[in-house]
Amino acid sequence: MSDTDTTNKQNTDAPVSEEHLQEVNEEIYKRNVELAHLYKELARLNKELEDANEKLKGLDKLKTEFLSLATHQVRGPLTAIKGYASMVIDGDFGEVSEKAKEAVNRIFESSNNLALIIEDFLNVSKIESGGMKYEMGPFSVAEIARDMSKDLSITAAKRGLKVNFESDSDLDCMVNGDKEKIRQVVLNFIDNSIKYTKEGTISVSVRKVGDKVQFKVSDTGMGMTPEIMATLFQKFARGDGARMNTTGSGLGLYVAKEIIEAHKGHVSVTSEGPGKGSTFGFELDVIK
Amino acid sequence: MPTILIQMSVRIIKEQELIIGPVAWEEAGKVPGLKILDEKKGDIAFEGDPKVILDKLIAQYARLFGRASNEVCKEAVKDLLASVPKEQLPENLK
Repeated sequence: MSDTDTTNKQNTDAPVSEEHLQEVNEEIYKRNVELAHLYKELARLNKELEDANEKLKGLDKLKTEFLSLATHQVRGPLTAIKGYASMVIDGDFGEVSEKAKEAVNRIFESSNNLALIIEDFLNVSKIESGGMKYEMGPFSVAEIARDMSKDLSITAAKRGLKVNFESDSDLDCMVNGDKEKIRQVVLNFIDNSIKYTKEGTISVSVRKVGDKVQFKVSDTGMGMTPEIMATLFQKFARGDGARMNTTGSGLGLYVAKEIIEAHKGHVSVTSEGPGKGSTFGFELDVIK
Repeated sequence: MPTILIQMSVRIIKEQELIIGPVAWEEAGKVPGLKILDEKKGDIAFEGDPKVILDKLIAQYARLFGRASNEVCKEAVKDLLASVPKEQLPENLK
């Protein structure tokens, strides 16, 4: 054995003094005391968080129930307003003057807008309570988009706008999903573009890209900043809607996103910037 | 009065248990006159002068872990101290 080995062996063999052991023991104890205090504080904070969470869950449930009840109650009278307004316009109660017809038309359009807002609120309450049902089946996104573009081109023309539509074949654009819910999304996207465009063209396209169907609506409208884009699909986001004095619940895009994501797809929005138009879209898996 | 001193002892053992683990009960079991009836329920009994036994319990921990341990014991029972006349409190809790 070398001298170094001997020295090392002596050092590790040297008895540790009782005093040193006691010191180490007390030091470890003090650290443990600190740890115990931290643990107690953590437990207290956790309990506070749990209590706050339970309270929040309760409030959220109450809010969803209230929303559902309120919107159901409003739906009935609204249907009556729309129905009677429509009958007056159609002359069911006799001849009406052009001025009266125009006035009743405004009542009809406003109640229609209100009905759409109510529908958004109802959809949100269904989504949040997990009660949104989807009736799945095969359909063509191109077919829906073509129909919607045609229907909305009348509204667009009144604002001096044109709606162009192009697509791949219907067969190429078949997806499996809830046709009515997807129609709602397509309507929402095209209607939004019309609402936020003062002049120019709305371009609607449906294409097969790889194993996805890609739906896009591009407009020459007000465009938006990256900050607005980041929040657009959140609840009550209206982009610059307030400034443009447009009507809307701010829930349409949130509902659209939830519907598309429930179909395992995703939504998108791009814009070059304010005044440079926007493109909204979604992608769904093609039926294989 | 014995009851409150037993209550204090249980509090002290449990507080020490948070810091040093189950060895807190082992050490408590070494204190003369302190009988552990049910560790899980925190049930103990005294055989002898409660003031002396409690004092020895506190000293047992202090022997191993020093003055810091005394502070822990005092902290564990601080809300009960007012309900015990000073002359009946062990020295280590004054």
